[in-house]
Amino acid sequence: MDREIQRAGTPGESGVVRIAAVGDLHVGLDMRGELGPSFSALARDADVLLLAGDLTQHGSRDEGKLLAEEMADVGVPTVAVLGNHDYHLDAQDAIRADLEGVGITVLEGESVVLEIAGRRVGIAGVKGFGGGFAGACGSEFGELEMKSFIRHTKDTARQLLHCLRAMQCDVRVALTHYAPTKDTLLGEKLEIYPFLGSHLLGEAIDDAACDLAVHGHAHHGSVRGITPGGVPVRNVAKPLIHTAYQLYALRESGRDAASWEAASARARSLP
Amino acid sequence: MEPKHLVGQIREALATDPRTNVLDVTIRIAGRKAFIIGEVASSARKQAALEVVRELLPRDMEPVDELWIARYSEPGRPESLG
Repeated sequence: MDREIQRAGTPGESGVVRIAAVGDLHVGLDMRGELGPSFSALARDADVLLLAGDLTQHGSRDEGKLLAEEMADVGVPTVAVLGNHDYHLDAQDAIRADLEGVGITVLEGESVVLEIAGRRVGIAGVKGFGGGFAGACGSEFGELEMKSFIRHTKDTARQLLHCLRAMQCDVRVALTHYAPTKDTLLGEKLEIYPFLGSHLLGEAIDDAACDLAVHGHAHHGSVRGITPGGVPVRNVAKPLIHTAYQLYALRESGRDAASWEAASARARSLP
Repeated sequence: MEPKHLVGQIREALATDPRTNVLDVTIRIAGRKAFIIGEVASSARKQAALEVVRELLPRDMEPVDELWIARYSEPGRPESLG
């Protein structure tokens, strides 16, 4: 699904897209009144806020409601994906409904295009999943449980690619909870990399010639990374960045038109 | 019980107990002490984690609280990309 929203508010520098991003808020009922104030300067700093999953601690409906209350008036369009914590109690649909009730766009195999600073900014989002990274990853082979695990990863990566390449936009952003590269996992225990992300997400991001990929999930990882195809990846897990949100200013893409067109054509030709 | 098995049990309990659902706390056992190390978001979560660990430890073992509560700074300047 591709949705379009016209943004409201005061634009920053012409042509510069100001993105705020944070993941892993892990909101619990013990945090009432804490989150809202942390976004008090957001409308001054950014044009859009991206939330990279694990928005609740236990994945309960009550936490979803509290999160929605706290995020109801942040002052900029907000686009979110959910994370594994948000699925824990099988209340993900209710959490999503509560967030959408206060105007937050929640993506799962979906995209949205925003008009910001005269540019069309496309954001495609999936939770993503684990599986590991090229050379040290699982395969769809063996027991039913293993095949199911990797099939879910493949499905979510395929959805991401589909959404990314379907967007008609000037700036292309991938929003996931799980990591698309192991670069941003540096600092985590090597043994848990397969539970933190998948190279298949990175492959989709490269195939769609993204300008930026944002994820969370890896609390002890690293902030900056890059896909094999050169797309900047940023880990915005709040326990890692230790601030309310990170800010990015996306200027005119450094990607030359020919390489962008080639990448886009490749993306369109994929099954 | 071997200390490594006990660490595994405590980590699983911290991840799955509805009082905590915490996955990123480190447990280290040294002698009769179990160190619980890591950052949590609130004092309530710190107390919950300690409670879960205490319930699993044998009577002759002592939990050592090495948890701290997260503090966040103001957002910095934007990183320029593109």
